[in-house]
Amino acid sequence: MLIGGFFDISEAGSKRKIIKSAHVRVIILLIILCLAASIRNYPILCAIGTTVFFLCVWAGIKWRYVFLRMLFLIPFGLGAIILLPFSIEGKKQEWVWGLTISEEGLSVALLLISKLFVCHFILCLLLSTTSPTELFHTMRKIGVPIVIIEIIKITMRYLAVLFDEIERMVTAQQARGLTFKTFASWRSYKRSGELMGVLLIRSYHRSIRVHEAMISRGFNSMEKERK
Amino acid sequence: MYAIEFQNVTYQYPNGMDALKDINLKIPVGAKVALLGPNGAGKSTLLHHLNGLKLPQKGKVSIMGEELTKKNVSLIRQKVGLVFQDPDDQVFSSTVLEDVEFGPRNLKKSEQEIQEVCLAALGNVGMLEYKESAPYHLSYGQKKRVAIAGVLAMKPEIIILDEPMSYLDPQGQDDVAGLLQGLNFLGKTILLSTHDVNFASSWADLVIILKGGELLTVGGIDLLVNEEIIRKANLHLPVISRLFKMLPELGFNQLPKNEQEAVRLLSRLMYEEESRSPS
Repeated sequence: MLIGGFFDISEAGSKRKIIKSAHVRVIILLIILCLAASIRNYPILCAIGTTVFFLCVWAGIKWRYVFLRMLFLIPFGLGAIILLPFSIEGKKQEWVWGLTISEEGLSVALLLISKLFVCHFILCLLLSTTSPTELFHTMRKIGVPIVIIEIIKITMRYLAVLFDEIERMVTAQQARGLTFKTFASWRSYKRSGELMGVLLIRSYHRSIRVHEAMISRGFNSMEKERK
Repeated sequence: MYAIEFQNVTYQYPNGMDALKDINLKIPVGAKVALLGPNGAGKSTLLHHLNGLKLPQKGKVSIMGEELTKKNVSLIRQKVGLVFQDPDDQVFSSTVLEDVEFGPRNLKKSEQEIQEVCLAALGNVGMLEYKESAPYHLSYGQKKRVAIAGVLAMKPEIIILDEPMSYLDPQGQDDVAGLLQGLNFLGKTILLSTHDVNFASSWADLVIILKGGELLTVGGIDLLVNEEIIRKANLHLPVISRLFKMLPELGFNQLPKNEQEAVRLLSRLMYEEESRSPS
């Protein structure tokens, strides 16, 4: 459950809900999220970020949860953003070791990083103040297709199971002498590939069993309407 | 009318392996049935035929007198509830209550009825207080009980369980055994697959033994102390029977099948010894 816990939004409880009505809360936070993601004006983005930060403080969200989720964002977000100053055309500036970066690229990268952090805080605020049931119910009410909602729900449910499986497999490897030293080696790339392959096969077999279990309880197709 | 009837049922996997070969079977209503056999005997394939997950390639399967066909498979699934071996395969929703509601919603029940049957089902398995919990916060035994509740909420007449005791701790096994006993008292026909001969001998009143897709034998729990059958089925005698077998000097010509029978035999022996001894 250690790794799976990072995705466990039920662990993110807040002290206050900010807005009493879950529907209104979800809709307002989603609007702010869209605004933060689409805006290119620094002062407005900064204002949104500050407001959201103070709302997080006021709501009493768990900072450990916020930072753990951020650890997962950083490799993906920064990994993509870090190349922008080198790849976007514009006014070149000398950097180190003869490398040049463009001012425009730097500006875009900074904007994206700011957006990433602001959106992250908005999402943490949303997930900390709203239970999964309320969130999905509101998403359905505002017209998000049921297929998307079901995919998110099943993904959330099985990520924990998948991470449990990874932990069990890594523990089994540790029992046969895997240490951090042996893990951080070139051979571990091969082992990681094998691990992913086994996980893929297991997930595929599990998906068949889950589908059979659903069919056995009368499932025919995705529900058109859920009250 | 029988709860379950198999007539010359045959099923072959796409790779050509025979999973079931000409199975003939009759299970009366209200029976407690244990399906035993080694790995690869065809137990799960047989169970999947009861719920319509698989349809016989040859022969006929009837549930409560009605033949299972492609057309009436939805109707049959209302009558036969199937609990899978791994509850993580079955309990897939984000909360316990939502998962239990899954079956009744598929049956297009009214909202009020859904709430009633689901809360009752969770109450029956002792999981009502966890109704808002996320499944990944539950223990394996609790998830198993939620899986059973999910099936109970569909109000089936027959309940099928694939290895219900696997991975459960002794307390969890006792809880599930008690639950199954209670369901049987309510008139449900219960069929479960198991490797646990001890459990089968103390719980079941009908035993089905499969091997290599063939029906080895069907009958009462006496079969579980028949050494020839047990050897053929790659099973072993119940622990209590093995204990008595190791003590031939006691002079019993028949092995006890379970603890109750062993106690009865020992009590009789003690009584006879007391009667013989000069007082």
